[in-house]
Amino acid sequence: MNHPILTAEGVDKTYPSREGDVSALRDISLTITEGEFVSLVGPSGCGKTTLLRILGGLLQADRGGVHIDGQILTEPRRDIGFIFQDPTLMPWRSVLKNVTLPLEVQGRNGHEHRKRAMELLGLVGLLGFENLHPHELSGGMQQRVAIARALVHEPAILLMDEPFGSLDAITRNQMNLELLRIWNATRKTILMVTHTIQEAIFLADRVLIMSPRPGHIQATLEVDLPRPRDNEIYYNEDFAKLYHLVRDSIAAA
Amino acid sequence: MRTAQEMTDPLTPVETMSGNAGTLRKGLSRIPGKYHAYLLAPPALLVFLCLWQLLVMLGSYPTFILPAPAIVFRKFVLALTDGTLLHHARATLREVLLGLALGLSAATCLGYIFAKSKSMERLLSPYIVASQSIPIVALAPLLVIWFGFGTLSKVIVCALIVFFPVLINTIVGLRSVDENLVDLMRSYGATRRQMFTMLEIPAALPVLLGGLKIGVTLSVIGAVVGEFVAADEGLGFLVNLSRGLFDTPMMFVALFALVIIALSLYGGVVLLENRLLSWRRIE
Ligand SMILES: Nc1ncnc2c1ncn2[C@@H]1O[C@H](COP(=O)(O)OP(=O)(O)OP(=O)(O)O)[C@@H](O)[C@H]1O
Ligand SMILES: [Mg+2]
Repeated sequence: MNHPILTAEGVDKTYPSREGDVSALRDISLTITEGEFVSLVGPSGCGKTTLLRILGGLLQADRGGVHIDGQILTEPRRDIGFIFQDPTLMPWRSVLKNVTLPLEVQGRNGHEHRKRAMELLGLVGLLGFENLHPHELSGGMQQRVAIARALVHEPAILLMDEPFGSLDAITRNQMNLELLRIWNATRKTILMVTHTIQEAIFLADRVLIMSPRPGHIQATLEVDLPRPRDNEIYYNEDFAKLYHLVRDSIAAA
Repeated sequence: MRTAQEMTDPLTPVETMSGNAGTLRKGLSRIPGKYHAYLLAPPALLVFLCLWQLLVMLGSYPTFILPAPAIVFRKFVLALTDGTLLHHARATLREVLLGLALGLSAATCLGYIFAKSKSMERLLSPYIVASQSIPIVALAPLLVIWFGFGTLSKVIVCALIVFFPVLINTIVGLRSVDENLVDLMRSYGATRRQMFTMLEIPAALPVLLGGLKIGVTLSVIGAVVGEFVAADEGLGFLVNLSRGLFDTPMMFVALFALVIIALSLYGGVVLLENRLLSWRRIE
Protein backbone atom coordinates (compact mmCIF):
# COMPACT_ATOMS: atom_id res chain seq x y z
CA MET A 1 0.00 0.00 0.00
CA ASN A 2 3.10 2.22 -0.19
CA HIS A 3 2.16 3.51 -3.56
CA PRO A 4 3.01 7.15 -4.30
CA ILE A 5 -0.19 9.08 -4.92
CA LEU A 6 1.17 12.61 -5.07
CA THR A 7 4.57 13.53 -6.44
CA ALA A 8 6.19 16.81 -7.33
CA GLU A 9 9.42 17.07 -9.23
CA GLY A 10 11.67 20.12 -9.53
CA VAL A 11 8.88 22.61 -9.03
CA ASP A 12 9.87 26.25 -9.43
CA LYS A 13 7.56 29.23 -9.05
CA THR A 14 8.33 32.90 -9.47
CA TYR A 15 5.78 35.66 -9.02
CA PRO A 16 6.20 38.80 -11.08
CA SER A 17 5.81 41.97 -9.06
CA ARG A 18 6.43 45.69 -9.45
CA GLU A 19 9.67 45.47 -7.49
CA GLY A 20 11.07 42.68 -9.62
CA ASP A 21 10.32 38.99 -9.57
CA VAL A 22 9.74 37.13 -6.31
CA SER A 23 11.11 33.64 -6.38
CA ALA A 24 8.62 31.81 -4.19
CA LEU A 25 9.61 28.15 -4.72
CA ARG A 26 12.82 26.60 -5.97
CA ASP A 27 13.33 23.02 -6.97
CA ILE A 28 10.72 21.43 -4.76
CA SER A 29 10.46 17.67 -5.01
CA LEU A 30 8.34 15.50 -2.78
CA THR A 31 6.51 12.22 -2.78
CA ILE A 32 3.50 11.41 -0.66
CA THR A 33 2.30 7.84 -0.49
CA GLU A 34 -1.30 6.81 -0.36
CA GLY A 35 -2.87 7.15 3.06
CA GLU A 36 0.03 9.11 4.45
CA PHE A 37 -0.36 12.12 6.73
CA VAL A 38 2.31 14.72 6.04
CA SER A 39 2.80 18.05 7.81
CA LEU A 40 4.50 21.01 6.23
CA VAL A 41 6.07 23.63 8.46
CA GLY A 42 8.06 26.73 7.65
CA PRO A 43 8.29 30.41 8.44
CA SER A 44 5.66 32.81 7.17
CA GLY A 45 6.07 33.75 3.52
CA CYS A 46 8.24 30.76 2.61
CA GLY A 47 5.80 29.57 -0.04
CA LYS A 48 3.65 26.96 1.71
CA THR A 49 0.39 28.28 0.29
CA THR A 50 1.97 28.56 -3.14
CA LEU A 51 3.15 24.97 -2.99
CA LEU A 52 -0.28 23.73 -1.90
CA ARG A 53 -1.97 25.59 -4.73
CA ILE A 54 0.43 24.04 -7.23
CA LEU A 55 -0.09 20.56 -5.78
CA GLY A 56 -3.85 21.04 -6.08
CA GLY A 57 -3.69 22.22 -9.68
CA LEU A 58 -4.92 25.74 -8.89
CA LEU A 59 -1.62 27.27 -9.94
CA GLN A 60 0.78 26.25 -12.71
CA ALA A 61 4.42 25.75 -11.79
CA ASP A 62 6.99 27.58 -13.91
CA ARG A 63 9.11 24.46 -14.09
CA GLY A 64 8.74 20.89 -13.00
CA GLY A 65 5.54 18.94 -12.68
CA VAL A 66 3.04 17.41 -10.33
CA HIS A 67 1.69 13.90 -10.76
CA ILE A 68 -1.38 12.49 -9.10
CA ASP A 69 -1.64 8.72 -9.31
CA GLY A 70 0.90 8.82 -12.12
CA GLN A 71 -1.09 11.31 -14.16
CA ILE A 72 0.31 14.76 -14.84
CA LEU A 73 -1.74 17.46 -13.12
CA THR A 74 -2.82 20.37 -15.30
CA GLU A 75 -6.05 21.49 -13.67
CA PRO A 76 -7.90 21.00 -10.37
CA ARG A 77 -9.24 17.50 -9.80
CA ARG A 78 -12.34 16.50 -7.94
CA ASP A 79 -10.50 13.97 -5.83
CA ILE A 80 -8.36 16.70 -4.27
CA GLY A 81 -9.99 18.66 -1.47
CA PHE A 82 -8.81 22.00 -0.16
CA ILE A 83 -9.00 23.79 3.11
CA PHE A 84 -7.79 27.31 2.46
CA GLN A 85 -6.02 29.55 4.94
CA ASP A 86 -9.21 31.67 5.17
CA PRO A 87 -12.61 30.03 5.62
CA THR A 88 -13.66 31.13 2.10
CA LEU A 89 -17.38 30.65 2.66
CA MET A 90 -20.13 32.00 0.44
CA PRO A 91 -21.75 34.72 2.56
CA TRP A 92 -25.15 34.32 0.89
CA ARG A 93 -25.38 30.61 1.68
CA SER A 94 -26.41 29.18 5.01
CA VAL A 95 -23.90 27.07 6.92
CA LEU A 96 -25.53 23.86 5.72
CA LYS A 97 -25.64 25.04 2.11
CA ASN A 98 -21.98 25.99 2.33
CA VAL A 99 -21.16 22.48 3.46
CA THR A 100 -23.17 20.86 0.68
CA LEU A 101 -21.68 23.17 -1.98
CA PRO A 102 -19.11 20.65 -3.31
CA LEU A 103 -21.85 18.03 -3.69
CA GLU A 104 -24.07 20.48 -5.49
CA VAL A 105 -21.31 21.44 -7.92
CA GLN A 106 -20.60 17.79 -8.57
CA GLY A 107 -24.26 17.05 -9.13
CA ARG A 108 -24.63 14.86 -6.07
CA ASN A 109 -27.72 16.28 -4.44
CA GLY A 110 -29.87 14.12 -2.31
CA HIS A 111 -31.20 13.31 1.07
CA GLU A 112 -28.32 11.13 2.18
CA HIS A 113 -25.88 13.88 1.28
CA ARG A 114 -27.74 16.33 3.48
CA LYS A 115 -27.56 13.78 6.25
CA ARG A 116 -23.83 13.42 5.70
CA ALA A 117 -23.41 17.21 5.86
CA MET A 118 -25.32 17.30 9.15
CA GLU A 119 -23.11 14.53 10.53
CA LEU A 120 -20.01 16.50 9.64
CA LEU A 121 -21.46 19.65 11.19
CA GLY A 122 -21.98 17.63 14.34
CA LEU A 123 -18.41 16.46 14.12
CA VAL A 124 -17.08 20.01 14.04
CA GLY A 125 -19.46 21.03 16.83
CA LEU A 126 -21.80 23.20 14.79
CA LEU A 127 -25.10 21.38 15.11
CA GLY A 128 -27.83 23.93 15.62
CA PHE A 129 -25.97 26.52 13.56
CA GLU A 130 -26.77 25.01 10.17
CA ASN A 131 -29.31 27.66 9.19
CA LEU A 132 -27.22 30.67 10.13
CA HIS A 133 -25.13 32.60 7.65
CA PRO A 134 -21.33 32.86 7.84
CA HIS A 135 -21.34 36.46 9.08
CA GLU A 136 -23.24 35.29 12.14
CA LEU A 137 -20.40 32.95 13.15
CA SER A 138 -17.06 33.61 14.79
CA GLY A 139 -13.87 33.22 12.76
CA GLY A 140 -13.12 29.85 14.34
CA MET A 141 -16.64 28.60 13.69
CA GLN A 142 -16.36 29.68 10.06
CA GLN A 143 -13.14 27.72 9.72
CA ARG A 144 -14.87 24.65 11.16
CA VAL A 145 -17.57 25.02 8.49
CA ALA A 146 -14.79 25.01 5.91
CA ILE A 147 -13.43 21.80 7.44
CA ALA A 148 -16.81 20.10 7.26
CA ARG A 149 -17.15 21.26 3.67
CA ALA A 150 -13.76 19.83 2.71
CA LEU A 151 -14.74 16.41 4.02
CA VAL A 152 -18.24 16.17 2.60
CA HIS A 153 -17.34 15.07 -0.92
CA GLU A 154 -14.75 12.63 0.39
CA PRO A 155 -11.75 13.60 -1.71
CA ALA A 156 -8.94 11.05 -1.67
CA ILE A 157 -6.34 13.75 -1.08
CA LEU A 158 -6.79 16.63 1.33
CA LEU A 159 -4.59 19.70 1.10
CA MET A 160 -5.00 21.81 4.20
CA ASP A 161 -3.55 25.28 4.67
CA GLU A 162 -3.35 26.04 8.39
CA PRO A 163 -6.87 24.75 8.93
CA PHE A 164 -6.83 25.29 12.67
CA GLY A 165 -4.91 28.56 12.69
CA SER A 166 -7.85 30.57 13.97
CA LEU A 167 -8.89 28.17 16.72
CA ASP A 168 -8.07 28.34 20.41
CA ALA A 169 -5.70 25.74 21.85
CA ILE A 170 -8.45 23.57 23.37
CA THR A 171 -10.68 23.47 20.30
CA ARG A 172 -7.61 22.98 18.21
CA ASN A 173 -6.63 19.94 20.22
CA GLN A 174 -10.14 18.54 19.86
CA MET A 175 -10.04 19.13 16.12
CA ASN A 176 -6.65 17.42 15.93
CA LEU A 177 -8.07 14.34 17.63
CA GLU A 178 -11.12 14.42 15.36
CA LEU A 179 -8.94 14.76 12.30
CA LEU A 180 -6.88 11.75 13.34
CA ARG A 181 -10.08 9.80 13.91
CA ILE A 182 -11.39 10.74 10.46
CA TRP A 183 -8.08 9.98 8.86
CA ASN A 184 -7.96 6.64 10.62
CA ALA A 185 -11.45 5.75 9.46
CA THR A 186 -11.10 6.94 5.87
CA ARG A 187 -7.38 6.65 5.19
CA LYS A 188 -7.24 9.78 3.13
CA THR A 189 -3.92 11.19 2.06
CA ILE A 190 -3.38 14.44 3.90
CA LEU A 191 -0.88 17.22 3.44
CA MET A 192 -1.31 19.86 6.08
CA VAL A 193 0.43 23.19 6.52
CA THR A 194 0.75 24.36 10.09
CA HIS A 195 2.68 26.90 12.11
CA THR A 196 2.54 24.84 15.25
CA ILE A 197 5.37 22.34 15.58
CA GLN A 198 3.54 20.24 18.19
CA GLU A 199 0.54 19.93 15.94
CA ALA A 200 2.72 18.97 12.99
CA ILE A 201 4.33 16.14 14.95
CA PHE A 202 1.19 15.04 16.75
CA LEU A 203 -0.68 14.42 13.51
CA ALA A 204 1.85 13.36 10.94
CA ASP A 205 3.82 10.41 9.71
CA ARG A 206 6.32 12.81 8.28
CA VAL A 207 7.15 16.49 8.77
CA LEU A 208 8.51 18.52 5.87
CA ILE A 209 10.45 21.62 6.86
CA MET A 210 10.63 24.47 4.40
CA SER A 211 13.27 27.19 4.25
CA PRO A 212 12.27 30.70 3.20
CA ARG A 213 12.66 32.60 -0.05
CA PRO A 214 12.96 30.90 -2.31
CA GLY A 215 11.02 28.14 -0.61
CA HIS A 216 12.83 24.87 -0.54
CA ILE A 217 12.30 21.62 1.35
CA GLN A 218 15.12 21.82 3.83
CA ALA A 219 14.57 18.68 5.83
CA THR A 220 12.23 15.74 6.21
CA LEU A 221 11.56 14.12 9.55
CA GLU A 222 9.99 10.71 10.06
CA VAL A 223 7.64 10.69 13.03
CA ASP A 224 7.73 7.13 14.29
CA LEU A 225 5.49 7.66 17.27
CA PRO A 226 2.99 4.85 17.81
CA ARG A 227 -0.59 5.14 16.59
CA PRO A 228 -3.38 5.59 17.49
CA ARG A 229 -2.22 8.73 19.24
CA ASP A 230 -3.89 10.72 21.97
CA ASN A 231 -2.92 13.60 24.24
CA GLU A 232 -0.66 11.30 26.25
CA ILE A 233 1.85 11.49 23.45
CA TYR A 234 2.71 15.07 24.31
CA TYR A 235 4.44 13.72 27.44
CA ASN A 236 6.38 11.14 25.47
CA GLU A 237 10.14 11.58 25.51
CA ASP A 238 10.42 10.87 21.79
CA PHE A 239 7.89 13.59 21.14
CA ALA A 240 10.06 16.10 22.95
CA LYS A 241 13.09 14.96 20.96
CA LEU A 242 11.26 15.37 17.67
CA TYR A 243 10.00 18.75 18.76
CA HIS A 244 13.53 19.97 19.36
CA LEU A 245 14.73 18.51 16.09
CA VAL A 246 12.05 20.32 14.10
CA ARG A 247 12.63 23.55 15.96
CA ASP A 248 16.35 23.42 15.36
CA SER A 249 15.89 22.73 11.67
CA ILE A 250 13.52 25.67 11.29
CA ALA A 251 15.97 27.88 13.13
CA ALA A 252 18.78 26.68 10.86
CA ALA A 253 16.71 27.34 7.74
CA MET B 1 -30.84 48.71 13.11
CA ARG B 2 -31.33 50.63 9.92
CA THR B 3 -28.83 50.22 7.16
CA ALA B 4 -27.19 53.15 5.45
CA GLN B 5 -29.21 52.44 2.37
CA GLU B 6 -32.48 52.79 4.22
CA MET B 7 -31.34 56.11 5.64
CA THR B 8 -31.06 57.65 2.20
CA ASP B 9 -34.25 56.05 1.02
CA PRO B 10 -36.47 58.74 -0.48
CA LEU B 11 -39.44 57.02 1.13
CA THR B 12 -38.13 57.82 4.57
CA PRO B 13 -39.87 60.92 5.85
CA VAL B 14 -37.89 63.85 7.13
CA GLU B 15 -40.55 65.39 9.27
CA THR B 16 -42.44 63.65 12.01
CA MET B 17 -45.85 64.34 13.44
CA SER B 18 -47.40 63.43 16.72
CA GLY B 19 -50.73 61.95 15.71
CA ASN B 20 -53.03 59.68 17.56
CA ALA B 21 -50.14 58.14 19.45
CA GLY B 22 -52.09 55.51 21.39
CA THR B 23 -53.79 53.76 18.48
CA LEU B 24 -50.73 54.25 16.35
CA ARG B 25 -48.57 52.35 18.80
CA LYS B 26 -51.06 49.51 18.99
CA GLY B 27 -51.00 49.24 15.21
CA LEU B 28 -47.23 49.50 15.19
CA SER B 29 -46.73 46.40 17.26
CA ARG B 30 -48.03 44.30 14.38
CA ILE B 31 -45.48 45.70 11.93
CA PRO B 32 -41.76 44.86 12.07
CA GLY B 33 -39.73 47.61 13.71
CA LYS B 34 -37.63 48.45 10.68
CA TYR B 35 -40.73 49.60 8.77
CA HIS B 36 -41.98 51.98 11.46
CA ALA B 37 -40.32 54.92 9.78
CA TYR B 38 -42.38 54.32 6.65
CA LEU B 39 -45.58 54.81 8.65
CA LEU B 40 -44.60 58.42 9.15
CA ALA B 41 -44.71 59.03 5.39
CA PRO B 42 -48.48 59.74 5.21
CA PRO B 43 -48.47 62.32 8.03
CA ALA B 44 -45.42 63.91 6.46
CA LEU B 45 -47.37 64.19 3.21
CA LEU B 46 -50.16 65.88 5.13
CA VAL B 47 -47.72 68.45 6.51
CA PHE B 48 -46.45 69.05 3.00
CA LEU B 49 -49.99 69.60 1.68
CA CYS B 50 -50.79 72.02 4.53
CA LEU B 51 -47.67 74.06 3.79
CA TRP B 52 -48.59 74.11 0.13
CA GLN B 53 -52.11 75.31 0.88
CA LEU B 54 -50.68 77.95 3.21
CA LEU B 55 -48.32 79.18 0.50
CA VAL B 56 -51.18 79.50 -2.01
CA MET B 57 -53.31 81.39 0.53
CA LEU B 58 -50.55 83.74 1.68
CA GLY B 59 -49.26 84.50 -1.80
CA SER B 60 -52.72 84.44 -3.40
CA TYR B 61 -51.20 82.98 -6.57
CA PRO B 62 -53.44 82.48 -9.57
CA THR B 63 -54.24 78.87 -10.38
CA PHE B 64 -52.18 78.80 -13.57
CA ILE B 65 -49.06 79.58 -11.52
CA LEU B 66 -49.62 77.56 -8.37
CA PRO B 67 -52.91 75.73 -8.01
CA ALA B 68 -54.14 74.85 -4.53
CA PRO B 69 -53.88 71.18 -3.49
CA ALA B 70 -57.66 70.84 -3.49
CA ILE B 71 -57.87 71.97 -7.11
CA VAL B 72 -55.13 69.58 -8.12
CA PHE B 73 -56.87 66.79 -6.26
CA ARG B 74 -60.17 67.50 -8.00
CA LYS B 75 -58.36 67.47 -11.32
CA PHE B 76 -56.72 64.20 -10.35
CA VAL B 77 -60.07 62.57 -9.60
CA LEU B 78 -61.49 63.94 -12.83
CA ALA B 79 -58.58 62.71 -14.94
CA LEU B 80 -58.77 59.37 -13.22
CA THR B 81 -62.50 58.89 -13.78
CA ASP B 82 -62.57 59.97 -17.40
CA GLY B 83 -59.67 57.63 -18.17
CA THR B 84 -57.21 60.29 -19.38
CA LEU B 85 -54.74 59.67 -16.62
CA LEU B 86 -54.74 55.90 -16.92
CA HIS B 87 -54.37 56.10 -20.69
CA HIS B 88 -51.27 58.32 -20.48
CA ALA B 89 -49.84 56.57 -17.46
CA ARG B 90 -50.16 53.24 -19.22
CA ALA B 91 -48.33 54.59 -22.27
CA THR B 92 -45.48 55.91 -20.13
CA LEU B 93 -45.32 52.77 -18.04
CA ARG B 94 -45.10 50.66 -21.19
CA GLU B 95 -42.20 52.75 -22.50
CA VAL B 96 -40.49 52.61 -19.12
CA LEU B 97 -40.81 48.86 -18.74
CA LEU B 98 -39.75 48.07 -22.31
CA GLY B 99 -36.90 50.57 -22.04
CA LEU B 100 -35.80 49.05 -18.77
CA ALA B 101 -35.89 45.56 -20.22
CA LEU B 102 -33.84 46.60 -23.23
CA GLY B 103 -31.39 48.76 -21.27
CA LEU B 104 -30.91 46.20 -18.53
CA SER B 105 -30.33 43.27 -20.82
CA ALA B 106 -27.92 45.17 -23.05
CA ALA B 107 -26.02 46.58 -20.06
CA THR B 108 -25.74 43.30 -18.17
CA CYS B 109 -24.63 41.35 -21.26
CA LEU B 110 -22.01 43.91 -22.21
CA GLY B 111 -21.05 44.31 -18.55
CA TYR B 112 -20.40 40.58 -18.32
CA ILE B 113 -18.21 40.68 -21.41
CA PHE B 114 -16.28 43.69 -20.11
CA ALA B 115 -15.84 42.17 -16.68
CA LYS B 116 -14.37 39.03 -18.29
CA SER B 117 -12.27 40.66 -20.96
CA LYS B 118 -10.10 43.68 -20.28
CA SER B 119 -9.24 43.99 -23.96
CA MET B 120 -12.90 44.18 -24.98
CA GLU B 121 -13.36 46.87 -22.37
CA ARG B 122 -10.37 48.81 -23.67
CA LEU B 123 -11.66 48.50 -27.21
CA LEU B 124 -15.24 49.60 -26.62
CA SER B 125 -15.35 51.67 -23.46
CA PRO B 126 -14.06 54.91 -25.08
CA TYR B 127 -17.07 54.87 -27.40
CA ILE B 128 -19.46 54.15 -24.59
CA VAL B 129 -18.04 56.90 -22.41
CA ALA B 130 -18.12 59.28 -25.37
CA SER B 131 -21.75 58.42 -26.07
CA GLN B 132 -22.54 59.20 -22.46
CA SER B 133 -21.14 62.69 -22.80
CA ILE B 134 -23.90 63.59 -25.29
CA PRO B 135 -26.89 64.88 -23.30
CA ILE B 136 -29.82 62.57 -23.87
CA VAL B 137 -32.09 65.59 -24.47
CA ALA B 138 -29.92 66.52 -27.43
CA LEU B 139 -29.91 62.98 -28.76
CA ALA B 140 -33.64 62.35 -28.38
CA PRO B 141 -34.76 64.36 -31.48
CA LEU B 142 -32.38 62.33 -33.62
CA LEU B 143 -33.73 59.11 -32.21
CA VAL B 144 -37.25 60.22 -33.02
CA ILE B 145 -36.20 60.85 -36.62
CA TRP B 146 -34.64 57.40 -36.81
CA PHE B 147 -37.17 55.36 -34.89
CA GLY B 148 -40.40 57.24 -35.49
CA PHE B 149 -42.90 59.02 -33.31
CA GLY B 150 -44.25 55.93 -31.64
CA THR B 151 -43.27 53.93 -28.61
CA LEU B 152 -40.00 52.64 -30.06
CA SER B 153 -38.10 55.93 -29.97
CA LYS B 154 -39.07 56.47 -26.31
CA VAL B 155 -38.09 52.94 -25.42
CA ILE B 156 -34.69 53.58 -26.92
CA VAL B 157 -34.18 56.88 -25.13
CA CYS B 158 -35.18 55.13 -21.93
CA ALA B 159 -32.85 52.19 -22.59
CA LEU B 160 -29.93 54.52 -23.34
CA ILE B 161 -30.30 56.42 -20.11
CA VAL B 162 -30.61 53.21 -18.08
CA PHE B 163 -27.71 51.55 -19.85
CA PHE B 164 -24.67 53.29 -18.42
CA PRO B 165 -25.19 53.07 -14.65
CA VAL B 166 -26.27 49.46 -14.96
CA LEU B 167 -23.26 48.66 -17.14
CA ILE B 168 -20.85 50.17 -14.62
CA ASN B 169 -22.49 48.38 -11.72
CA THR B 170 -22.44 45.08 -13.57
CA ILE B 171 -18.72 45.41 -14.22
CA VAL B 172 -17.94 46.48 -10.66
CA GLY B 173 -20.16 43.75 -9.24
CA LEU B 174 -18.66 40.95 -11.30
CA ARG B 175 -15.10 42.13 -10.68
CA SER B 176 -15.69 42.19 -6.94
CA VAL B 177 -16.14 38.41 -6.80
CA ASP B 178 -13.76 36.98 -4.20
CA GLU B 179 -10.79 35.33 -5.95
CA ASN B 180 -10.60 32.71 -3.23
CA LEU B 181 -14.16 31.65 -3.92
CA VAL B 182 -13.26 31.36 -7.59
CA ASP B 183 -10.41 29.04 -6.58
CA LEU B 184 -12.76 27.08 -4.36
CA MET B 185 -15.22 26.55 -7.19
CA ARG B 186 -12.36 25.63 -9.52
CA SER B 187 -11.16 23.04 -7.04
CA TYR B 188 -14.56 21.33 -7.27
CA GLY B 189 -14.28 21.27 -11.05
CA ALA B 190 -17.15 23.72 -11.50
CA THR B 191 -18.26 24.38 -15.07
CA ARG B 192 -18.40 27.89 -16.48
CA ARG B 193 -22.14 27.85 -16.09
CA GLN B 194 -21.93 26.81 -12.44
CA MET B 195 -19.35 29.55 -11.85
CA PHE B 196 -21.87 31.99 -13.24
CA THR B 197 -25.01 30.85 -11.49
CA MET B 198 -23.60 29.70 -8.17
CA LEU B 199 -20.86 32.28 -7.64
CA GLU B 200 -20.84 35.28 -9.94
CA ILE B 201 -24.52 36.17 -9.87
CA PRO B 202 -25.05 35.91 -6.11
CA ALA B 203 -21.75 37.65 -5.39
CA ALA B 204 -22.52 40.52 -7.73
CA LEU B 205 -26.17 40.78 -6.77
CA PRO B 206 -25.92 43.55 -4.14
CA VAL B 207 -24.11 45.82 -6.61
CA LEU B 208 -26.39 44.79 -9.48
CA LEU B 209 -29.45 45.72 -7.48
CA GLY B 210 -27.83 49.05 -6.63
CA GLY B 211 -27.51 49.67 -10.37
CA LEU B 212 -31.11 48.65 -10.88
CA LYS B 213 -32.24 51.22 -8.31
CA ILE B 214 -30.53 53.98 -10.24
CA GLY B 215 -31.79 52.47 -13.51
CA VAL B 216 -35.50 52.44 -12.62
CA THR B 217 -35.42 56.05 -11.48
CA LEU B 218 -33.63 57.16 -14.62
CA SER B 219 -35.94 55.14 -16.85
CA VAL B 220 -38.89 57.39 -15.97
CA ILE B 221 -36.83 60.42 -16.90
CA GLY B 222 -35.88 58.74 -20.18
CA ALA B 223 -39.49 58.10 -21.15
CA VAL B 224 -40.50 61.70 -20.38
CA VAL B 225 -37.58 63.10 -22.35
CA GLY B 226 -38.65 60.98 -25.32
CA GLU B 227 -42.24 62.12 -25.00
CA PHE B 228 -41.23 65.76 -24.80
CA VAL B 229 -39.68 65.57 -28.24
CA ALA B 230 -42.62 64.06 -30.06
CA ALA B 231 -45.53 62.04 -28.81
CA ASP B 232 -49.26 61.81 -28.80
CA GLU B 233 -49.62 60.02 -25.50
CA GLY B 234 -47.81 59.52 -22.20
CA LEU B 235 -47.41 61.56 -19.05
CA GLY B 236 -44.61 63.66 -20.55
CA PHE B 237 -46.92 64.44 -23.44
CA LEU B 238 -49.65 65.33 -20.93
CA VAL B 239 -47.32 67.79 -19.17
CA ASN B 240 -46.46 69.37 -22.50
CA LEU B 241 -50.08 69.52 -23.61
CA SER B 242 -51.30 71.07 -20.36
CA ARG B 243 -48.55 73.65 -20.51
CA GLY B 244 -49.87 74.77 -23.90
CA LEU B 245 -53.39 75.01 -22.47
CA PHE B 246 -52.25 76.79 -19.30
CA ASP B 247 -53.83 73.89 -17.45
CA THR B 248 -51.37 73.94 -14.56
CA PRO B 249 -53.44 71.64 -12.31
CA MET B 250 -53.21 68.96 -15.01
CA MET B 251 -49.44 69.43 -15.12
CA PHE B 252 -49.34 68.77 -11.41
CA VAL B 253 -51.48 65.68 -11.85
CA ALA B 254 -49.13 64.36 -14.53
CA LEU B 255 -46.08 65.11 -12.38
CA PHE B 256 -47.57 63.31 -9.41
CA ALA B 257 -48.38 60.34 -11.59
CA LEU B 258 -44.74 60.25 -12.71
CA VAL B 259 -43.62 60.36 -9.10
CA ILE B 260 -45.95 57.51 -8.25
CA ILE B 261 -44.56 55.41 -11.10
CA ALA B 262 -40.97 56.11 -10.08
CA LEU B 263 -41.67 55.40 -6.42
CA SER B 264 -43.47 52.14 -7.21
CA LEU B 265 -40.63 50.94 -9.41
CA TYR B 266 -38.09 51.87 -6.77
CA GLY B 267 -40.19 50.23 -4.08
CA GLY B 268 -40.37 47.13 -6.23
CA VAL B 269 -36.58 46.95 -6.40
CA VAL B 270 -36.34 47.47 -2.63
CA LEU B 271 -38.77 44.58 -2.10
CA LEU B 272 -36.77 42.45 -4.50
CA GLU B 273 -33.62 43.38 -2.64
CA ASN B 274 -35.12 42.47 0.72
CA ARG B 275 -36.12 39.15 -0.72
CA LEU B 276 -32.92 38.26 -2.54
CA LEU B 277 -30.50 39.67 0.01
CA SER B 278 -32.40 38.58 3.09
CA TRP B 279 -29.26 36.86 4.38
CA ARG B 280 -27.66 40.26 4.98
CA ARG B 281 -30.54 41.81 6.81
CA ILE B 282 -30.39 40.10 10.16
CA GLU B 283 -27.77 41.99 12.09
N1 LIG C 1 -0.26 36.25 -5.95
C1 LIG C 1 0.99 36.60 -5.62
N2 LIG C 1 1.64 37.54 -6.32
C2 LIG C 1 2.91 37.88 -6.01
N3 LIG C 1 3.61 37.35 -5.01
C3 LIG C 1 3.02 36.41 -4.27
C4 LIG C 1 1.68 35.98 -4.52
N4 LIG C 1 1.35 35.05 -3.61
C5 LIG C 1 2.43 34.89 -2.83
N5 LIG C 1 3.44 35.69 -3.21
C6 LIG C 1 4.78 35.76 -2.62
O1 LIG C 1 5.29 34.45 -2.56
C7 LIG C 1 5.86 34.17 -1.31
C8 LIG C 1 5.25 32.95 -0.69
O2 LIG C 1 3.91 33.23 -0.37
P1 LIG C 1 2.97 32.14 0.28
O3 LIG C 1 1.61 32.74 0.41
O4 LIG C 1 3.07 30.89 -0.47
O5 LIG C 1 3.62 31.99 1.73
P2 LIG C 1 3.18 31.11 2.97
O6 LIG C 1 4.32 30.22 3.30
O7 LIG C 1 1.88 30.47 2.73
O8 LIG C 1 3.06 32.21 4.12
P3 LIG C 1 2.08 32.21 5.40
O9 LIG C 1 2.60 31.20 6.34
O10 LIG C 1 2.24 33.60 5.94
O11 LIG C 1 0.72 31.94 4.90
C9 LIG C 1 5.73 35.42 -0.48
O12 LIG C 1 6.96 36.05 -0.40
C10 LIG C 1 4.74 36.29 -1.21
O13 LIG C 1 5.16 37.62 -1.17
MG1 LIG D 1 0.01 30.73 3.52
